[in-house]
Amino acid sequence: MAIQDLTLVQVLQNKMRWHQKRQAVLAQNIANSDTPNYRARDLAKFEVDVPDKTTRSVAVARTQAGHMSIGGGTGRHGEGSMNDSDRKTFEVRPSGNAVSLEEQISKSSENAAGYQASTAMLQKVIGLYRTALRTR
Amino acid sequence: MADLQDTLAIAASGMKAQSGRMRVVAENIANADSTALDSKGNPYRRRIPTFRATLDREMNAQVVQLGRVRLDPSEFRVRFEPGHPAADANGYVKAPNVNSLIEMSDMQQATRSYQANLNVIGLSKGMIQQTIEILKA
Repeated sequence: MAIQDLTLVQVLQNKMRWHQKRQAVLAQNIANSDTPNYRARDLAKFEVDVPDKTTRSVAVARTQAGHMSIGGGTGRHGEGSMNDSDRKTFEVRPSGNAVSLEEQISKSSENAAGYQASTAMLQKVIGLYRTALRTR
Repeated sequence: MADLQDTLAIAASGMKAQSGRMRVVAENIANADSTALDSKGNPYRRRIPTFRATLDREMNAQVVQLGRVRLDPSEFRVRFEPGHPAADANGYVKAPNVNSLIEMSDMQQATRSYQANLNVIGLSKGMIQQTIEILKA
């Protein structure tokens, strides 16, 4: 069994790929922060695509109509923010440029932090394998 | 990893454009007092850098480029200095239409954008390092 077959590893790999792509998109926004008529863009939220239904999170059963639904049951968790195109940005300059430098920088820091979390997690998974393989 | 390397190239394009803008601003400031040689000529005309987003087909990304440097069509400043070689019959000399206050704020803005791009390079470099760290796990 290859380590790639693990669902967790697949999810982490997808998440890392998403963070890399997002970093490229945010870099474009920052590079074009003075270009007339340029509008900031962003990727859609990262959604976990779990192939195996058993690993999905458990939903609380609603036995009566008055019960509120508690999050979970969808097996998806969001990361990042909405697409900039369907949200009003902070400011549009007279040149038609709609890139808020502060917003983009905070987004890219957040993105780098998310990436660090994924790589740390992947290291832990590999560490678990090492522990299992270690002979006394 | 390829995306992260593209990120570095995109941020570098932004830095290149901003330093080009700095060059134009420096040109304006340096020539803030360059008058014409005689009464018929015009003094230095302020230059304006322009930016445009161009699609880099290899990376499929919008990189920034310094567009054509345009000339500021606004009126020249005029000052009274009859002894000047470029003075007209009434003793007025045409001075460049450079406002050092505007140039300074332009320079600040260029510095800020340059730093933002540098920041992106720092973050992406950190991400690449973290990826390599996985090998050590």
